[in-house]
Amino acid sequence: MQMNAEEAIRALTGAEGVQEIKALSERRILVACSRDAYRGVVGRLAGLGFNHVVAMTGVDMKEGIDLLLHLGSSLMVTVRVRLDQSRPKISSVSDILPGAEMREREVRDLLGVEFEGHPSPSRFMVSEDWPAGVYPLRKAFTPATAAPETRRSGPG
Amino acid sequence: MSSSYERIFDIPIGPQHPALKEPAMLKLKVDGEHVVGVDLDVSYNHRGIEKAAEYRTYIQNLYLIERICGICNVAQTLTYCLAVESLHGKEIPARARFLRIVAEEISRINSHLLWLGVAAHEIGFDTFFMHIWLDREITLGLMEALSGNRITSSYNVIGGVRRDVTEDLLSRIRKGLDDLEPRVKRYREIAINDRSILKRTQGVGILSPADAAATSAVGPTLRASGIKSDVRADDPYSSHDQVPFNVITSDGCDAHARIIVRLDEILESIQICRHCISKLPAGPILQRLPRRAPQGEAMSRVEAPRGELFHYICSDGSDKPYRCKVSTPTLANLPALVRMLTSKGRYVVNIADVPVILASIDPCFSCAARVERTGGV
Repeated sequence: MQMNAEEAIRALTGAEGVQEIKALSERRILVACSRDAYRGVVGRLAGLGFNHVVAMTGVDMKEGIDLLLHLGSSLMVTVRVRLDQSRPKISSVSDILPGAEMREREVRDLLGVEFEGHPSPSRFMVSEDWPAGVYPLRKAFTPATAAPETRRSGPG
Repeated sequence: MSSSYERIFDIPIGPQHPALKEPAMLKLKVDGEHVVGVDLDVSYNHRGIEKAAEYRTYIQNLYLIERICGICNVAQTLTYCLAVESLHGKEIPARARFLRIVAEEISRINSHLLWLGVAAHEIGFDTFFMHIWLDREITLGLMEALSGNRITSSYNVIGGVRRDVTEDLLSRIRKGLDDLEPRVKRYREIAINDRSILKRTQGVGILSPADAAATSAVGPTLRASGIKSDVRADDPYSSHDQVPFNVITSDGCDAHARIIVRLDEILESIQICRHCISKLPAGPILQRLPRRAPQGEAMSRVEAPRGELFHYICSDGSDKPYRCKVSTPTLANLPALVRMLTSKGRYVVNIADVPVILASIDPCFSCAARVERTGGV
């Protein structure tokens, strides 16, 4: 049986490099940590039984790229790391969590995050003729097709 | 050691191939008839739905998200609506929560029957395929009665559901389920006893429980390896804590176990539908929510027919999401698929088993790459 939110928060409090832990709801926890501590925090979570990789999300926050790794089957812990905007780089966790391998390839293709030590360098989500160095989910990328118009634009 | 010829050959399967219903590319390495390595490429279908969602309002996105997958459209909109509702911090009316379960389970039955037909076709049992798809029409009829559409139902909306049910409609759904149940039981009997099904699926596509857990497999693929994990039970999202149901598992760990798990899940879904219809609470079906979502982040997940479906929405307080992330069960099951295709020991994968193994995870590569398509074939 997996631990509940309070137990998980207690187990993670004081871990090296953890900047913030907050419970979003009964079964959602957000853990923010530094880039250098990321691998250690993920390893610790995997040791606590959070070894089911739900998803990996990259968000371009303009002042940096946020990498979110969502773990756990009943209680979901999200590990959040802020990466440098110009050259986002972080160590791969696919050796600790094999389920993260394709997730990391997806984030690499769509947001240009480099995963150090990743076993597979080939493209996965974008086609082979997609230009190098263009990352469609970055905010600087504008799609060629215009968005549909909205009828009214006032406060809703 | 040098030889005059290479022993290991590369065989590309896809992206267009008669045995594949999906635009994916499997680069197989074969030694004679045996698969010794595989590389996957799912990049043929990326059209950037996540990016498109950033340019549309929450309400427009409902219809965009629905078109990620034709078969799982109910699960897709449900996950999206749950995330938006969680941004608003609002609970939706109890009647709507129960109606969402009914719609979700009808679409699960539909998806599993569709898959079963495709699986029967992959093993060359086309009579079975025709019979199953005829009975699948019952669930399509029920979906049409419930929502007005056979496939793309647009049933879930932000804050509730779009249409209420009448007593007459509920009895039609009950009748449809009563017609379906004996058919599914008969198919289960055939799947267990028929020699051609057993020969093509037993011992094929082995995924050990340890591998299933390590690769973060989801849905029926995971449960057919004996691991009891279901989002409806582990992380109940729509009054599932008030509905009694069993999480179906099987210890077979092969393609046959995946057929049996899905058939048993159809029978379980019929029971869930019946329970929800008999215990349907009275009251409103919609809680109106503002067009703009408050600033914040929300994560939601749903047990889609193929497995765990996850959405993440980041809101900056405007009427459009800042980031909308979709993670589909097919992508989660790809590492497990690679393990199945390269399993060694007693069961070396024969190249003729590749289509069956691929079909056994119920893949939807368009979902994985997030693009519009309808139906399963």
